[in-house]
Amino acid sequence: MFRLIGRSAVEGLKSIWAHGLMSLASVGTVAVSLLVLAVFLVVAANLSYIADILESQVEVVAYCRPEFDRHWEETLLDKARAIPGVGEVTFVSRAEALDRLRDQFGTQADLLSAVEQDNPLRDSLEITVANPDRIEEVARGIAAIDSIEDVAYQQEVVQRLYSVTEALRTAGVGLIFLLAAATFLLISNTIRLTIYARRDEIEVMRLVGATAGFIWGPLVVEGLLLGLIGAGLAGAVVFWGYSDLLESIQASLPFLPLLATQPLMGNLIQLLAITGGLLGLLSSWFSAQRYVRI
Amino acid sequence: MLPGLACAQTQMTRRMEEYGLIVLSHVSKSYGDINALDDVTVNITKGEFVFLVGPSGAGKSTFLQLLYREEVPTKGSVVVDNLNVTRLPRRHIPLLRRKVGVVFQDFKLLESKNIYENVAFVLNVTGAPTKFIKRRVPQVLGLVGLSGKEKSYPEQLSGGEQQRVSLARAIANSPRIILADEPTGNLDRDSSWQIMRLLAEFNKRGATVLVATHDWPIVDAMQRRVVEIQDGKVVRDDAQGGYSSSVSSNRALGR
Repeated sequence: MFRLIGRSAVEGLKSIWAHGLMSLASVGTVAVSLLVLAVFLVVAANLSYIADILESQVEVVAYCRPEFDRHWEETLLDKARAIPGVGEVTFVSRAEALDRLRDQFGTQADLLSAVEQDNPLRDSLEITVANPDRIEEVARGIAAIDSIEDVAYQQEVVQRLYSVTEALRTAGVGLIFLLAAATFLLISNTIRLTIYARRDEIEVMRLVGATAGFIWGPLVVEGLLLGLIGAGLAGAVVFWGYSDLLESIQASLPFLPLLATQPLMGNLIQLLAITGGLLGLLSSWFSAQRYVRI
Repeated sequence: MLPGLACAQTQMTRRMEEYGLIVLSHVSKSYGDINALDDVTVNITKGEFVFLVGPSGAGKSTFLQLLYREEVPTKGSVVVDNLNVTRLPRRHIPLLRRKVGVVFQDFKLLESKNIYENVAFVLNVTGAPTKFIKRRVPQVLGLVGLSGKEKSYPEQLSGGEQQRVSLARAIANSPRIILADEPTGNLDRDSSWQIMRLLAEFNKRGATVLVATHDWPIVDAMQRRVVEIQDGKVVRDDAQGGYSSSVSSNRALGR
């Protein structure tokens, strides 16, 4: 058994080396297919992460009437807290709101200098909602308070984000199947080439009574290796690509929440390796079964 | 074990061996509309040397191919060394092939391997231990008179030598049966005789040998059992005979 595995590994590797160009094409296809898969997964994972964060932060912002007097702050808070479904309520004064805006603008904060003389912002209440489903109810309740002029909430944004994620996932799954089919064809064709190149050897093996395992072993190993090497390439590209992207995004858009490199990349690379390996195994097995008679 | 039972078993085995190491009964093989073999019944016992003769396309190759399960009969049954070839499960095919050494007209040597590697290869892929291979390869190369040629490549050898390598390869696994399909078809007179003498030698050492051939001078000279096939039918089965009998010559003349 060990000898079978050892021999299969050696023969499989030799064969990959012998078919340089074809092997390269197979590895390339596996890598590109898995790369596309990886990009889809990374984007989808991040979008749903953002959507989750937004949803967990779903809050109603209630803007007070311009003439609102801060003396009534406590009363207003009490009224808001009394509404069923309301979680936490925070009062954000006009000055605080302007400060936040300045923070978000970061280095471009001087753009705000024009409005700073006469702060156009209004006092507001930020209300978190314990259960996102009750958000409309809460919003209506808040809007009914006298000093509140206007109510806004982010439900729509969240929903749109979710639907984009969903569409991306569906498109991704479709695309992945196409790419998997292409990869399958290319690997099985490479293996077929190996079978053709080694037809004399295989013929002799058959005639002297080598078992199917002995004949198929090297072929399946070759397929497995092609798949794994492709997966490794795709994994490396995604890993470094994402790390770089994350760095530059965090530098320019610090408020955009993105998933950290780990555990996302670790999981992704595992998934790529399994997918690549399985594709390699299946397609080479298919070719061996189909083109090598026992 | 009871002595009586052991005795009965030996007797049974002996009877089966007498009955035949290779038994084809009412075998037909057709490819589409073409009948390669038609109701062939042949019984070959252990230790026989049999020539299979007949014109090209008569079905000689098909006959041999049925014996190592390269082909499956359309009708009838084929039994080789107590294995029912017709009903042999796929995973047991290697078992059958290890009992049978096959030699072809075109040698089927691997050009990229030297002589030693060519013989070692078959032992290797059938899982023989490395120690055994190191001992066995020089031994069989010696048997076919090729000691010292281990490092040569097939293209550096004459046709006769190449066929002897393929003979060495065929017997490396010590098969009980040797099948040769036109083994002298590509060889000159002297080489042909060398090959036939080697086959006869292996036969003397206990192998059952079946040779499909057109080489009438050799068949005539050796006077062994001859099975003649024409149009897929056995037309003659002489315990000792030449390449053609009066029957077949008359037929040939009558046409």
